[in-house]
Amino acid sequence: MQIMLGDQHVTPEMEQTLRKDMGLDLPIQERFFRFLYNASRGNFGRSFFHRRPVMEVILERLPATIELTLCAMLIAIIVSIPLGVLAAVRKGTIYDRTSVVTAMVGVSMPGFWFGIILIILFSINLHWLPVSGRSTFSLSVPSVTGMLLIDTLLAGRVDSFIDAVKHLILPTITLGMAMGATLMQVTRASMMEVLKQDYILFAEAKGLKRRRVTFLHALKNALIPTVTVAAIQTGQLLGGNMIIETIFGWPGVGSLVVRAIFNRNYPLVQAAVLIYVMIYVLMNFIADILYTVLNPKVRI
Amino acid sequence: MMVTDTDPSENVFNNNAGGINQVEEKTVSLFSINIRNFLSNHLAVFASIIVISAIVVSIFSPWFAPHDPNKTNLFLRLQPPAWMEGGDWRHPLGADHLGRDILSRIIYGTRVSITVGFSVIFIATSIGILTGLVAGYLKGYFDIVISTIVDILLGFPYLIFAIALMAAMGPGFQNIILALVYKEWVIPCRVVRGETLAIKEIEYVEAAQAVGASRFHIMLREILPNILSPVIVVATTRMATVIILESSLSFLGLGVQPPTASWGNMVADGREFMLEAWWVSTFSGIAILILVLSMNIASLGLRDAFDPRFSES
Amino acid sequence: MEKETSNSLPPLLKIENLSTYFDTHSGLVKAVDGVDIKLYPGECLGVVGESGSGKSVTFLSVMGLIKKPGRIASGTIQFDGRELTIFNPRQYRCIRGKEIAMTLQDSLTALNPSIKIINQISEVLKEHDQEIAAQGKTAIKNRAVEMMKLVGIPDAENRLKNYPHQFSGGMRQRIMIAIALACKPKLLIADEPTTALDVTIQAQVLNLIADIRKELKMSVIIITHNLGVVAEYADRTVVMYAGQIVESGFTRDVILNPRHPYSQGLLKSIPRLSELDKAIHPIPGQVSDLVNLPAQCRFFSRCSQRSDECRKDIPIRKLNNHCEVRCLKVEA
Repeated sequence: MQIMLGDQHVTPEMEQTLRKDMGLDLPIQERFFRFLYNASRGNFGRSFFHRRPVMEVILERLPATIELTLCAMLIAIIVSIPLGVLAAVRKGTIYDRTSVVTAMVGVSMPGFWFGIILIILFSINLHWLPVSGRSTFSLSVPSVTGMLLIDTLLAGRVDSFIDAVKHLILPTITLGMAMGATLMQVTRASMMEVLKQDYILFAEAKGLKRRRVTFLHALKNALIPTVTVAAIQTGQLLGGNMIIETIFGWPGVGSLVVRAIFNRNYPLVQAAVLIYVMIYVLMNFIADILYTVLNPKVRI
Repeated sequence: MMVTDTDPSENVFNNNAGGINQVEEKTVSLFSINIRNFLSNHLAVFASIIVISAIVVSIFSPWFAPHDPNKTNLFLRLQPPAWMEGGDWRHPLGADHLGRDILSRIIYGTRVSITVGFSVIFIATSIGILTGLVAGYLKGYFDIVISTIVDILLGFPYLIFAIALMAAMGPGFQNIILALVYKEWVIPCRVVRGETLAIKEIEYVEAAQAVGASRFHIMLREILPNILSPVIVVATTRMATVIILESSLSFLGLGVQPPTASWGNMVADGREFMLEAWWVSTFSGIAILILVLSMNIASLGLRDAFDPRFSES
Repeated sequence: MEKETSNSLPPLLKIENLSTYFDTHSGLVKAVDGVDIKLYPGECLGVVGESGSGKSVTFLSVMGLIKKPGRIASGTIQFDGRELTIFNPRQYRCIRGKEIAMTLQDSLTALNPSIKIINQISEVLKEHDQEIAAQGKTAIKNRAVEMMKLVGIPDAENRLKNYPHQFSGGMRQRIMIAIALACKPKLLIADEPTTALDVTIQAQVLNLIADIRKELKMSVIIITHNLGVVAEYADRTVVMYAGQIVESGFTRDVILNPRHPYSQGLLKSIPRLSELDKAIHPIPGQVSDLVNLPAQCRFFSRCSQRSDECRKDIPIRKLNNHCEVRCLKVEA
């Protein structure tokens, strides 16, 4: 109790009321079940800080996080999978080495630092891109889906769209970098494994065109582990989200949670952790499904 | 020290089955070839030297650092690095917002990163080996319990778990190590369990059982030496990740508290001054990058040396 | 099942002094070292040897499928009047699958696990048979069904949409053969077609190859380490050891009257049902390390007939019109 209230001046009556309200006077098993019961009904209690139901606060900021995560995922996939394939097919050449080195650096770089460097370079020194935030207030549009990229197009405001894109670029690159680096390594390794297989030799012995062998025969099999990893990584992106959102002032769930932790906003942190875990489990589940769908051996 | 020593009792087993003898011999000679293989990988050797240097620097920081890292001097506030206008070579990388020498702080920051990295990995790997051996070899009840815990812990996204723990326990050096260990032990445990399950079936374990060796003896003397190499490789790789995690937590303010320097909180400090003093954040981050990159390269080289099958020429 | 081949026709495949080397970490591996082979149209040639003898590498070289760190160091390969060693990749792709086809040993790994059988057959047709391709999907599908029936896959029409793992080993091997023969090639190279199969299935597959060979008047090369296979189906046989040919000739000569000590050893080491109580005679020793080959007969360390005069590079000699042996101890 004391931890949560921190330094605020509290009267004993207030404390009593709060205790009762939060059910802290009940034994621990009861508290746990109460939590689950409430949670399953979507009721996470009220956030101290905002004086509103926690769920409301979180859901309000969820679209921003989803938009960022999806964009990062997309960029990571679009960039790293072709690079991984290229590196594997041209093993040992300059393409291969460059890709491997880039991936290693990408994995070794702390995300928060990379984001700051990008800001220093592109926002402060070059003035190409905005420093933080999600959009410029003057260019705001009515919110339909909560995703700026879609809403701005729906409203027909190209300038707002461009503004939204500009704000998205740096956070997306930062978030996508870690995932992209790992994805590239996985794709490359998987592709190299596949290319060593007998069925590739047989496909070549059939006189098929090289492009067909690489893409249809090889990639189809090589993508199986890649896709699985991508799904799992997306679940893990949420962890990275918190720091990146804080750095870029991105109004999503991540920065909300970070602030909540520092403000000792216990209910909100609880709710957010639960949601994160749920999404993580969901992504793992999706990864399993994808694996079953893509791998004929397992399907039947 | 060789991984597989020549325990006289082991020879008794070995002589009874020629095939087993060959396996034992292979393990011994493989270890020495490993070192030669590793040394021929120049990049990995270079990376290892960097890591070792970092360790040395962390131990002997006072000798390396030109200034006291915590000494504030407001006259030097936000002084630029030496090669820029306004800087001087007494503070080669400039000074932060409290006038503290950045280079010295980076040097002292090495202590935090290296200590946390090694401690976490050491503790987590030890716990992981123990639990993995028990789960893999004894199976049954132990395995179910341990595996369930492993699966649950794996289900939590790393950073959130760590942050939640830190928030509950409070910030600080020891708490960071604890928080990270909580999740980290799971990974070596999984590896060890897998390897143990695989090796369990091989003859020399059965031979040891046949002679009546105790289960504990088997776990320790027979299985352990042979699963060591993948465990070492995993441990070195994870150390790199742990260092990044520690710096992330420090960045959020959950790590060592000011005025102690850690690379993570140095980057955080510099964030306020991105506009006018980019160097406060930049150099500490470069330090993280260099150390982590070197660890990754070194562990890759280690993996190739242990198991050339996986190397790509 | 033997036929006298007519030497009046020029050879379909003529390999002369072929050497294929591999540049490995441990050194230069001379997997194939100075091999000469002639194959006549309509003939079935057996290539016998143990692992490491270079038999597979020889024919991978013919197909142009040798990849780094391997290279064809010297020699010529003439197929149907064309010189293959100077082919560029595109030219090779034109003849592979169409004029020369190859099947691999392990049918499970040789068929792509993610692609349906119908597609694995039809892609060969689409690539090489313009006529059929022009006629559309149904015509291609019908031809695929035809091929499946030809190799004896029951319920072919429905099984086209299955994946390789849904078939048994014997059926997969037959599907591989179906794919290989889809465009009616002039030459089929079957690499260990029976090694991964049960004994009963082995006979079926070999008979299948023999029947199709008769029907399409195709030349066949069977690569195997099993002398029994060769004895029954090959017209002529070539015995390889450590990258070289040590004996070649008509199968009946090689089997009934082997001249090279290695061939003799091979035949002696076959356990016979009629001699169950006799001891088995394996050839002692192992294949020498292909990296540091001393300049002597490669079979030296395992040969019971060796002597000092064998300590030099042994050339291959013609014994009569059809027989060649690489051994100094054999009289002409």
